[in-house]
Amino acid sequence: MGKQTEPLTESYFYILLCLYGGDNHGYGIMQMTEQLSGGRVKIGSGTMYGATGNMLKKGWIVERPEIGGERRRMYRMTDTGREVFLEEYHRISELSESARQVIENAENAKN
Amino acid sequence: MKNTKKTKRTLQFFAAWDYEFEEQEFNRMSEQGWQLVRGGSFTQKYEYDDSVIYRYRLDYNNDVNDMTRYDETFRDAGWERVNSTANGWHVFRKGYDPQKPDEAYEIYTDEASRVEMLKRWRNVCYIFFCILPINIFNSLRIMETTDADFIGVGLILACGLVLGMLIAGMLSINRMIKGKKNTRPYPMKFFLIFLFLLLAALLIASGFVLIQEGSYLILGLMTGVIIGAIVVAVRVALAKRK
Repeated sequence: MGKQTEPLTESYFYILLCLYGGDNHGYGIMQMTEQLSGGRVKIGSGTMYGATGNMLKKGWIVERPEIGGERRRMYRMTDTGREVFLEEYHRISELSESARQVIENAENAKN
Repeated sequence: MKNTKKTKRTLQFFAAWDYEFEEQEFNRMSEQGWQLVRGGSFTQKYEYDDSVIYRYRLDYNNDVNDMTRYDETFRDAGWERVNSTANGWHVFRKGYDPQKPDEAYEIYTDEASRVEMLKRWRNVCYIFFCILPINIFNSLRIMETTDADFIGVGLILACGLVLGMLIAGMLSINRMIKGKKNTRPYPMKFFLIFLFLLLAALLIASGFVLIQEGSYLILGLMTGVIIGAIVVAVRVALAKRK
């Protein structure tokens, strides 16, 4: 349950990434994503609602109980969410490492 | 305080798979000062205010189990929900700032979520597919049990037309899912109104036949459909008058 077998979309990846360091609200995640990706990845409201809805269902994130009349709804990553995110991070690192090796070997062979 | 804003109602049929066209139409009206305040598939209501330009977006989501969360997610990013239709379409708008890039007015920013939205809508078409055979069955029964064959034939014809539209719609959605632009010629407004009236007339006529026959269950179902049709017809008539 809650296990991820397919790669995450960029939107999903960034949402989880933005929650890794601490709780955040939807709008905060949108801004942080844009900033981290240098404006390349943007998350629209429809995409955000669908993604957070799916993640809530899968138990990757939860809504944080309200503290002192906050204006915005905060999301918190669960242990399952953290696991899914780290697994994806390791997968991507591995891809990047494989690519680096092959590219370096090819460059060296040329020289 | 009395609302002194000029309002305007329009009668325009927007097929659901043409929602992008619908958005463009609302944006165009907004640039002319007419701000949509209630959208719908048949009638739309605008208020005149030339001090602002909005960008409109439609979202299809019949699975909003938490409306406050839905509204908050959009509101925080600057979207105001104008209205929602009974079947799950939601109209949003955001003040237009020419400085901002077009992407600032997208609500679906990746392919996966856009496709999810289209698939939600396609699922509704599947439900309609399931209802149609019941209508055809009723029509056949009418033909069998009464002399009024023309009504049964008419109903089947009408079902066929609706089926044709559904197929056209679903092909359209499938094209959009595959990322192709929707190039269907527009509008089919008059054809659709004609189809609608034909259906209503046939339903009423078959109601009479069913009274004679004593099939009250089917009659009850049909009365429901007819009342619905009348409500829509009255709204359309009101829209035309203004």
